Amino acid sequence: MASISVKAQASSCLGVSPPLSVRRHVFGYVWGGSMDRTLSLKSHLNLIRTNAFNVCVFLVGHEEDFSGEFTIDEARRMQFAVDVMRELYSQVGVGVRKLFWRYIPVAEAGGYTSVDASEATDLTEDFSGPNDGIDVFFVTTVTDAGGWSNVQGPCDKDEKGERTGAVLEVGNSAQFLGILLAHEVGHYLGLPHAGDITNVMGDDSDGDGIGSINGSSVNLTTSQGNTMKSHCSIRPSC
Amino acid sequence: MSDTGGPPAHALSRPLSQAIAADALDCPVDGLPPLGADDVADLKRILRGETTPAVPIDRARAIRALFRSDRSGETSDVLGRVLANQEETTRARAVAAYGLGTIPGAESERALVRNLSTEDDTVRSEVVTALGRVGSAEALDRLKAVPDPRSPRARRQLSLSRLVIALRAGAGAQEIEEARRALRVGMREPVAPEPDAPQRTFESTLIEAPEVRELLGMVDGSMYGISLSDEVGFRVPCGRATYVLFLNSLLKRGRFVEGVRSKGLVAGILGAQERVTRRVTPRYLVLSTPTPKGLDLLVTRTDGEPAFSGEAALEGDGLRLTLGTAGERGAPARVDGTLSGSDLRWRLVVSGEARQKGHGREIRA
Repeated sequence: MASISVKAQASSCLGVSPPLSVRRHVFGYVWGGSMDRTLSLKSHLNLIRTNAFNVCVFLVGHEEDFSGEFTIDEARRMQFAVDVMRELYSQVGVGVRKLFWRYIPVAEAGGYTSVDASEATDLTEDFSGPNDGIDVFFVTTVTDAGGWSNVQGPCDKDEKGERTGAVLEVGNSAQFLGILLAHEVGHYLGLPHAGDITNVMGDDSDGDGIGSINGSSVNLTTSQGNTMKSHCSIRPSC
Repeated sequence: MSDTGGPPAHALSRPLSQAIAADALDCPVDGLPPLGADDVADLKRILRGETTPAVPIDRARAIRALFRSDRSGETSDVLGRVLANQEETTRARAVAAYGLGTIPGAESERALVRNLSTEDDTVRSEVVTALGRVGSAEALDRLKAVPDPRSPRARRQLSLSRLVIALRAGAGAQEIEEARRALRVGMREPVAPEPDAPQRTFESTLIEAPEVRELLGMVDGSMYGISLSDEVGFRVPCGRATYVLFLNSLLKRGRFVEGVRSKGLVAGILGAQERVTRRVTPRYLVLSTPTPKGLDLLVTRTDGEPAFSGEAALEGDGLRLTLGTAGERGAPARVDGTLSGSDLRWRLVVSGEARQKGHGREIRA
C-alpha cells in the first residue's frame, strides 16, 4: 500500500492542518491520561479513509472546570472507552474518523443526568450533534439498564419517534466501558445480539432481546463488519 | 460505600457475580435476567451489609439486579435503606428510588416519602418521579408540601406526579384542577401545522386481544399504577417508530364516552415499540379531565413535559378530539379524531418542520 502522509490525510479526512498533535488532531483526544493504545497511527489512518464514521460524544451535565457531574478521571475514562471501541472495530476494518466532544451544561441538562429508557429517548430528541456523526450521550446514571441504543439507528437526527443516539452511564471500568460503547454503537450500526458471549454484541441465549457482555466480549465477525459498513453513518472515502 | 470490613467475605454464585461484580467485567448490558431465590437472598444480605462479597461490587447494578428479580416488601425495605443512606453514592440512591417506583405498596411509598427532602437534587428528582408511579393520596399531601424546584424540568416532574396521583387516587375535582393547572404553567398554546405546509399523516389502527395482551407483556417500564385494558388498544406508526396506545381498563368498550366523562383519568399510556427487540417503552401519558363541553386533554412525556394539549368536544353521542403541539421544542402537529361508545378513530398530522434541538457546547480542554 502506498505510504500515507499524515499531514495530507489529516487535511483531507479530518480537515485539520499543521501544526498537528497526533493525539489531539488525528485521534481527536482532548484530555491527557494513559490510553494503552495498540492501534498504530498508520493503522488508524488506513481505517479512517474508508468505512469510517464520526462520533459526537456528549457529557450530560458537565462543566469545563469539572464542577458538574463528571470528574476528570471519568472524562478520561470516556476517552479511553472510545479508544477501546476503535481497537475493537479495527478487526473488521471499520474506523472512527472524527470525534466531536461536546457537553450539556448542568443548567441545560435538567434531570437528564439520571435517565431511564424513556428519558434516554427524550434526551436524544432534545439534543443532537452534527448530522454526520453518531451521538453518544454519557450520563451519570441509567436507572434501568447499563445503556440504551436502537438497532439500526437513524442518520437523520430529526427522525421522529425514536432514539437518535446511544445513551450510556459512565459507572464502569474504562476497559469495560469501551466494550459497552462498542456494543451500543454496534447496535446503532445495525448489529443485533450475537448469541456468543465472546462477541462484542454478546449473548442473548433466551432470545428476549436482553443481551449480556463481559470482559471477553471482544470479537467481531466479517459479516458483522459488512453490516456496519452498510450503515448510513459510514462517511464517504477521503 | 466500602465493600470491605465487617463479616468474612464469601464467594458469589456465577449468576450473581455476573450481575453485580464491579471488576469482573461480566455484567449484562441492556437489562438483567432475573436471579434465583438463593441469589436474591444473598444479594439482600450484601446490600444490607450483613455479608461482604469476596469481590468488589457495583452497588447501583446490584440494586437494579435486586428489583428486577424480586418485587417483595423485603426488597422495598432494602432499597429504602439504600435510599436513606447518605453514604451511598448518588447513583446508587437514584437507582434505589427508581426501583421503589417499580414496586407498588406502602413500604415503597413510606421509603420514598421519607426522602422527599433529601438535599441531593438528582435523588430527589427520582424520588418525586417514583412517588408519581406508586404513591397514594397520602403521598399527594406530602408532594403538595414540597417547595417548587428551581429547575423547570424538576418542577414539571413534581407537577406530573401530583396530577397522576390525584387522578389515580380519585381526588376531588378541585384538587385535580389545581394539579392540572400547575402542570400547565409555562405551557404554550397548542400549535398545529399550517394547512398548506408540508406534513405527514399517520392513522391509528385498532388492535384487540390477544395482540394487546402480547404487547402489554413486552412493556419495559412503569405503567404509573394504572390497570390497562388487555382487550383493546391502538397502534400508530410515526416516522421509523411504531407507537401503541394502551387504554385505562376503566374505559370499557361500548362505554368509552361514559367512562372518560365520568371522572379525571390517566386515560391511556402511549409506548414506543422498538423495531428489533419489539420491547415497548412507555413514553407519553394521556391525561383527561371532564369539562362541561366535553374533555380537557393533555399528553405529556414521562418527565411531565407537555407534548400535546387540546379538547374533546361533545358532538351527538360522541366526542370530537382536537389537539396540537404544546411542547416548547416540538414541531407543529395535530391529533384529531372521534370517540364513540365503542370506537376511537384518530390520526396524527405532523409538519415537516424539525423539532428544535439543543446542540450543547464544544469541549475545549
